[in-house]
Amino acid sequence: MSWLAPGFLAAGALAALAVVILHLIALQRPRRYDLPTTRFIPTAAARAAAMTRRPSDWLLLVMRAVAVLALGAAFARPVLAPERRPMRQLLLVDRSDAAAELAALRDSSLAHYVDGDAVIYVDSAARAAIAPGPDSLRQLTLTHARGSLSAGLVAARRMATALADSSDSLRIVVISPFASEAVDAALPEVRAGWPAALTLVTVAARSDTAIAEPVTLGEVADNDPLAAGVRSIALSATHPVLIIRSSPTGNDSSWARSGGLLLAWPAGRPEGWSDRLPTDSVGALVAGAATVVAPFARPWVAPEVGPGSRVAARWVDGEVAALEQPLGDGCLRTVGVPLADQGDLTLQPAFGALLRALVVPCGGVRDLRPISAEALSALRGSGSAAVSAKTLRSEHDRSPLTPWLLGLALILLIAEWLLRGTRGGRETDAASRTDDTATTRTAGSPARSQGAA
Amino acid sequence: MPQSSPIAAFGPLLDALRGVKWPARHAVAAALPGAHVSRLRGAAPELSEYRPYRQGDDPRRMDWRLLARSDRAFIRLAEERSVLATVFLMDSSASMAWPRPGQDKWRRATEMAVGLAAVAHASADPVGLVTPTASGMVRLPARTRRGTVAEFAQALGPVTPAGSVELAPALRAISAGRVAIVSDFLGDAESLLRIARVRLAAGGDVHAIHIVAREELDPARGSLLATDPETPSVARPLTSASRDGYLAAFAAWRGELADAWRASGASYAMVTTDEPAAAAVRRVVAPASGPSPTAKAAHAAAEGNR
Repeated sequence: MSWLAPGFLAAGALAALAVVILHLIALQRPRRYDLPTTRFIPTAAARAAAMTRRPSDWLLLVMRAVAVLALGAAFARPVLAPERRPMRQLLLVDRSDAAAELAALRDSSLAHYVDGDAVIYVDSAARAAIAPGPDSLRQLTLTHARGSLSAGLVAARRMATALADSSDSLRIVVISPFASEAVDAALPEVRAGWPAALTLVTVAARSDTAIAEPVTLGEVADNDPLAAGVRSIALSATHPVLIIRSSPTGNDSSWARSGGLLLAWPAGRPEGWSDRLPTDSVGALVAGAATVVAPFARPWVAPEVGPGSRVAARWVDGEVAALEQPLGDGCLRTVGVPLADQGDLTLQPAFGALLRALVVPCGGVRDLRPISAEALSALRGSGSAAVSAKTLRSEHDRSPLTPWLLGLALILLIAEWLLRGTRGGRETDAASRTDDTATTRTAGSPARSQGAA
Repeated sequence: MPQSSPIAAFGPLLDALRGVKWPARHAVAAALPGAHVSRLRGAAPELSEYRPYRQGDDPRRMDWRLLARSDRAFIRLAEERSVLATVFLMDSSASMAWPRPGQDKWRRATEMAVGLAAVAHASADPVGLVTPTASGMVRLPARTRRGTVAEFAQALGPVTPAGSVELAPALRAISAGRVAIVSDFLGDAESLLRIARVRLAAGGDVHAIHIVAREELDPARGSLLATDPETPSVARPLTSASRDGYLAAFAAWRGELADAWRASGASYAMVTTDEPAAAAVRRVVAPASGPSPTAKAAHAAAEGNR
């Protein structure tokens, strides 16, 4: 067992000792003793300080001492500390697809792993490995989500607090390509919450050298305006893109789940969208840096942007015009923009730019460039790479035994009060009832001689 | 098997007091013949002095030999001896029933009273008893008959000291020539002394027998809350700090009490519970340093009246 505030335990012990001493020297009402010549005793208080070798009431003494000790122990906040390791590591493994090679990531992770370390896998979120170990690391795979160092560090900080009781020191090792897209505005503040340097292990970041290939068009009519626009700019992408002009089928969805971008731009109302009554019109459509100015009819209303969804395009008044929803390793990007069969809107350069903006990878444009050396140094920090677990344990102010100890002290104090009441707590000061009438009856005026004394 | 009588408990004491006399402290003004010197001069066998014959004297009291030798007529005078009725006034207040459980003070008081009564009765003096109790008065008229001492002991047997009783009214009502007050004088001692002075001035004899428990002279040590058994509201802490004050105050009061009784002409004797009863009785009956001043003055007045 350890104590979060051991000073209170010492204070409780001292207080219990004081209780014992007070029981021995407390002002006591002496034992009654019939003495016919009492009137000759000098008048004094009926209570006299006396040293006794044995307390008069063992039960009261024990109850008071134990109550004081329990209070001291409660404030000392005992913690049943399990067996501790000298040093424990928390491995943050960035398994986003920003890493160039999976094998390098695995090797780096295994090289730094020590039995008993905790492993946290990081992409857009952080998940602690249920059974961390070499096997788990060997089975590591990359996800198609972006990495988030903030999420990883928050999870590591929480886990460090939980592991503080079983460790003397803790260290965070981050294994990541440290792509720029993994850094967000919250990172500096999250980083400041860890009071030691981070150990950073850099793996090669993926460079987007994939060859762009033409997007795939689903079944379309010959005079489909969207298909005309796609063909006119020979729309291509470095990732699989499938453009359909109807609601997605099961095959389409399963294709998207495997990591593709499914761009659903139905001619009618998209699935999940609702009719706008009355239909209005709007003058422009914006997607990324592309803007198309045209008198668009706007007959539908997009659904609420749920968690994980992303707005891919907006009307000029801010309403959602295209909504991206994650789908497995890919995503479904639904566009609720009706296109006229006549006219050359889809052949204009602005529309082509819009199309390119709508076929960017799921989650938006990726910035896979590694962060600068200065940013890396700032992330690493300075000083010792290990933080004492005591620092983390003192912030962990919950002691499961404290409420029980407080309850025990309260019960003992109530019992002591009741017991004291039944054992002659209604003491009266006999000196305050010193008899005056008795002094008038004695020859030789002992009271007068006493008064003279 | 016959039941043992209360007097049997005093057997050793009475045996130890056999032959002890309790002379009056001054001449007794009584008509009945007894053991004590009388204020009267009569025809007792013991010659005490001669007086010239006066007309009217009994010629049989004339000393014929002296007449033959001196040719002058003188009559013989001798001291008369009279009885002295003695009544014992017993204090049966609660303070006498201490220390418990033996009630040593009351036990010693009864021993003193029975012993002195036996001594007086052996000299043919009538002895009586007056004991005010919380439940009434226990009274035995002064008698000389056989068995009086046993009746005396039997009358005291059932008495249990309790409560608070006043002795002064009882003393006022006693008409005997000699009164022995057996008490711890923790009650109405001032009133008692005032009435005793009146008796003494009238020629009576008063003996103040002060019963003190050894535990009162040397109370238990330690921190105690002493309470008066007659007045429980009186409670004082008896500690090592207050003990010396108590001993000094109690001794001073005893001294004042003794001086006050002796100055009034009474006899005063302090009897502790650890003193053998027979020795205490002998001490009480022993003549001190001659008669008391009051007794001397009374004797001188009687001589002047002859």
